[in-house]
Amino acid sequence: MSDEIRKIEASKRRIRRQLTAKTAAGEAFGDKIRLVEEMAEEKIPKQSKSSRRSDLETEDSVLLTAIKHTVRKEPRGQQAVRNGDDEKRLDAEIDKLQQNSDQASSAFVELFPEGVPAADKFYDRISDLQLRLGWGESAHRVTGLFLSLVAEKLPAGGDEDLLRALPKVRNPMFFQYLDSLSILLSRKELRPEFATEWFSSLLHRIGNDLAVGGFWSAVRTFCDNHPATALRTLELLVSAGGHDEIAVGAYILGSLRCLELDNAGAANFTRVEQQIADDTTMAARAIYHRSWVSSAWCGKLGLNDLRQLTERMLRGSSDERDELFGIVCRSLLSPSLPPDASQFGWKWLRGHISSELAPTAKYNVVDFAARVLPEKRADAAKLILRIQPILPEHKGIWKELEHFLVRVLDSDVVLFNETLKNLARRNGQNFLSVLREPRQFEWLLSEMQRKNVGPVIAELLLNDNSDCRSLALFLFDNLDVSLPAESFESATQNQIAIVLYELQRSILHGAAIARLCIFLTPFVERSDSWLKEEFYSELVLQLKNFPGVCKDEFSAKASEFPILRRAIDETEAYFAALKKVWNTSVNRIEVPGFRRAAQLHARRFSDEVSRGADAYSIFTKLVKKVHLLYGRQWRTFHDSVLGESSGLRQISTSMEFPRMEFIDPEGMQLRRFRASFRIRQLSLVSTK
Amino acid sequence: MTPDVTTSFLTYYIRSLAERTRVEKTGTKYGFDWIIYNLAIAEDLVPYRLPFFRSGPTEVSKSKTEAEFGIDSSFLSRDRKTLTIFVLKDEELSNATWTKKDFDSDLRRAAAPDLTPAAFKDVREVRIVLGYNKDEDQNGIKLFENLTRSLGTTINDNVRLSFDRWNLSILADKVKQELLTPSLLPQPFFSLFGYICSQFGDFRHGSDEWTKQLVPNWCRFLDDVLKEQADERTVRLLPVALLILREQARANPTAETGWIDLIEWAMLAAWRTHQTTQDQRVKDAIMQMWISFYLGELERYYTTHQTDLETKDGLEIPHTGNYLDAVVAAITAFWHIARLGILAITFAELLPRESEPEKKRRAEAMHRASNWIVALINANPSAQRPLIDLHHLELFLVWRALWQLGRRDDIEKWLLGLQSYLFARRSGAVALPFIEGGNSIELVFEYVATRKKPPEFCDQSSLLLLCLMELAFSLEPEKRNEIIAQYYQQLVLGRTDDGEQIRNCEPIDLVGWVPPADWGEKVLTQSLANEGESQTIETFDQRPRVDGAVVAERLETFIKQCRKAQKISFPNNLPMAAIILACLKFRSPLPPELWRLSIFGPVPSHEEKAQKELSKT
Repeated sequence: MSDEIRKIEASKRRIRRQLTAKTAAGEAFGDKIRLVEEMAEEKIPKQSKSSRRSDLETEDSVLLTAIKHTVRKEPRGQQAVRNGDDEKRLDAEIDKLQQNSDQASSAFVELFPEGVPAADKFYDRISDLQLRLGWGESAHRVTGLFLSLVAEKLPAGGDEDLLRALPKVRNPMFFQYLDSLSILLSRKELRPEFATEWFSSLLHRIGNDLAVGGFWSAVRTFCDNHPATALRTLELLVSAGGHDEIAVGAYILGSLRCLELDNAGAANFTRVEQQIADDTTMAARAIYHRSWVSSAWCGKLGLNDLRQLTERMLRGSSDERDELFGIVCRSLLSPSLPPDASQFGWKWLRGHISSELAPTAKYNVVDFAARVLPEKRADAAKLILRIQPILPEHKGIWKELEHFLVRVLDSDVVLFNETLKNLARRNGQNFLSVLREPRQFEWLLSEMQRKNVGPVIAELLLNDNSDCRSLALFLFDNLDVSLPAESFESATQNQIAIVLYELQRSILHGAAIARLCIFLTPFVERSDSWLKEEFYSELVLQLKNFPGVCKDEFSAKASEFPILRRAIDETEAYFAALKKVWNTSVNRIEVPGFRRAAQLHARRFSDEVSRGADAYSIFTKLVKKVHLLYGRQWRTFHDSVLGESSGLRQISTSMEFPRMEFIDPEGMQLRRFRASFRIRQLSLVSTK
Repeated sequence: MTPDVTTSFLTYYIRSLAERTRVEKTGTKYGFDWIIYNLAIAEDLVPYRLPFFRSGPTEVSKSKTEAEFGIDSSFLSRDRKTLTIFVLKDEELSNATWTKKDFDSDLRRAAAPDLTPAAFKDVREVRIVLGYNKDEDQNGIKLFENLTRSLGTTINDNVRLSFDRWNLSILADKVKQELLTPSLLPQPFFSLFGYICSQFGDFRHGSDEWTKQLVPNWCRFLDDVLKEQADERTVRLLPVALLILREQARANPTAETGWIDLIEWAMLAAWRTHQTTQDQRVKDAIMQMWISFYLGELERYYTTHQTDLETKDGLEIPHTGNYLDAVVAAITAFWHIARLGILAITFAELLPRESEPEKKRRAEAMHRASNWIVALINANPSAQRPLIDLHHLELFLVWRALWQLGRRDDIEKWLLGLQSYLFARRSGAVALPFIEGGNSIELVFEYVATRKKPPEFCDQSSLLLLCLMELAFSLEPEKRNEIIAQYYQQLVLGRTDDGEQIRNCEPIDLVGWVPPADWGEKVLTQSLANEGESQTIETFDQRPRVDGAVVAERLETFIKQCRKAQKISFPNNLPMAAIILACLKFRSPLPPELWRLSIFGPVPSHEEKAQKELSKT
């Protein structure tokens, strides 16, 4: 569990580093990122391109150099730790400081020559130092060391006041401190009452952020180093009974269970554990149940424990039954789980999961599936299919499902294709409605773009299930993939016709429609005349609907397929006739109120675009929007520095709207009704 | 408007004028002396003697009482070398009138002008023009020629003398060539009419400016012209004013349809006069204007633009690239349908049908008009998109154009197609609202533009749907029942074929309408939308699917009771097309009796009923 959290936290750090690297690489983009930093108050240190060192950096100690820069409030343009060598030197310096308390105190005094300041100033200065030292582990060690030093230096109660102020530190530095807490807690023992309050407040501050690994690590360190205090803290947490207290309590109980305690300690632990296990309050029960997850990760959850736990929780409340799925799933992820317990867990899951599960339980199952080892993914896929349907509003579950699908796609395309087909059959409609929302499943779609998913899309297109076909059309529309002709070779005429009608009743981009029509052409040409006529009408209509992209695509293949040439010719005659009429008197009548309505529409459209950009564009989320009132150049004043002047750049995008939807909206809708009717007719014929 | 028709109406007008403009007890009599004056000005002549005192633009010029000595008006050329003398007569030129109406004496006196005034010291030529605005005969012409030959070719040996004769045709030609300007109209109208001409040149037909400025001005002008006891002259003035307007707005790209709009307002003003006058000449002039001017122009217009309206999607112009275009296209399509419908009805109503050739010509004309309508509908989806309840007028016209030719299959197809198109909107499947009962295009626009239903938007009641279902009674019972079932199930009740209620669809209340008792007097002057009586009809609920025969039976009962309760009579001597035009222009609903009479026949009177009962017994 904590490994996973550490991975996520590391990933977060990696992304921050990448962002920093981009800042250094691009000029204009870099400016914008700098703006982003300012807005988010994330002081990302810049990597220097220059190899020249400042005077201060020529000094031997990396740490002292950084401390001096911090104290002198030097601009943070350059880092003290620039490469692996610096990191090693810093590590060595910290090792020395840890071994030599005088040197450590001396460094602390360098940083705080005026003595320990008020909490906010203390954390600000430590944060500044950390930024100069980079995002590495060494920086966390320095911070942890200074935190423990200040705790030693402050009078009784002062240390707790200082630590109590930690949750008030701004983002993102707060999360950096979490990685330093292990050092602090390995050196300092907290009062149980304070630990109860402080751990809960830290967890409350962390909220839903995934970068929680440092925190749990610190709690584990606390348990490892001060088990008796931890046990007393556990008792207090059980009494407190809040949401955060339960989480911390469960972790402490699970961690203590993993320790090899002395006799007295073990007896004490057994007593407390039994008290909690027997306690009928919901909080105590929750602590007891959840504690087994952390125990599972240290190999302390055996078959009997798991069996008893599942039986106990199944007898409990509906909330406990729902939570049980999460506990089993997270326990199964532990590499330390004994094989028999693992087999039992999987079997239990297979026997108990169904479409009736509560959303939280479904979430846990999908989250679990996304994390299982590659050899278990086929089993996990079956679990996922059994919990369908997942409703579109349960975005978190879909997000986890996306993770799962990406991982499966990455490791096993055959399994992915099979899972996609089954998912489409079981819950295609909801899947499609989630896919159609802005910015959903972008990761999966981008991964699919790189893989050979044409065959599965073709297979879904020919599927009897309408949801499968719709999903296939969506994927075909959004991915620039080619369909393998051999997939359609054995397709019946009715199947081809159904694909055509499915196309008619779907809303796709012009390019996708054109590509699909071209793909279908050779198969239609082998069909009966009624289908040929229907297909020809479709070609003509789509040429009228998307006179730009369809014509381009069809023209490229017109020499190969005469039917395309014929459709193009007919449409050209249609547009030539239209062109003549547009300027004649029959069309010159104006309508009162139209101009006002056009303005209203333009305003609404502009508003929608703006709101859509604000809601769905990552860029607009990162960058503050400023309405420039004058001029054609701009620059920013940031961090007391006036930036370079930049010109305004126009960004535009264009797409072809389906023309016939505005010319004949009712006709197009009736066409969709008819397509549905024909699909029903042909499906009936197929099933007979 | 063809050149021949233009000349004809100019001729009618000029012929109707008196010799001089004068104010009489019965009203102002406009004279063609004003035309002569303006023609002379147009030829760059300088007035020397006029028969009236020129006055302000809104007044009638006052006639002079001085002796004329045969000369009605005289003009000098710019170089003062030619003196043109006009001798004007609002009489025929014939043997009978030659002496009696002073042609002879006035010409002789005019041929001996006093050239002593200083202004004539450079005059080298005297040109005498006899102008008359009535017909002529050969004897009259011969007498004129004899006299002018006898009067010689010089005056005082040094001034050349010549004669000219401007008969009605020449006057009409000259006016057509040189005087189709606001100045042709009598002085009191010059100012307002000149302003209207400039507005017609600038404003696009149908624009806000057109509707809010030009049309009210034009209607005021029409009221001014016809406000006194209108005589033939004033009625004849209307086409001339329209001809001038058309001439003045050649640069306006919307002039063609805009001109038709102005003609229609003029026709309604004329029909109002028709309702009050006892003067048969006035009535004839109005009927002539209706047939030859308005309907003639409609026929010419649609003959010219037939191919445009038949072009696939020809009316579906992309203005904004959104659903507002569909609204605009529908309004345009319904505008054309209305005019084509009026044309079709008029062909049936007014074309003679006594002889076989006449019958054939009438049938051909009716077919032509109905084919134009069908072609328009087939080519343009917007023609199946009624947006407001008042669009039932245009739908009635489509039905009427087909029904009067017995094209029942076409009626059936059209009604079914319309139902499908309406259902797509009723079900909310397209981003166009259902029919707006309050008849506000602005609200329709707002709904489409904002995608929010304005609070005032009314789609809960419909006369249009009732009208369409009643029109289905013109079909055979089986087909009628099928159509009524479709309309009732899907459009009125808002249910699918399977009986499932469509989401957000409440049943619509069908509403009938009976015009007020005095509607015949008001229909040409105002909107009747807020007058008369609305009749609500209870919902005939049947599940899962309504039975068309049952609904038809109940509707028929309703119709019978309505007709029995309030009998509607149509104004005498007013063509049905004029009534419909009035409803279109004033945005009045159509009296249902217009179609009920055709479908169900006249309501039997009490006497007829009694006789039937008697014969039964």
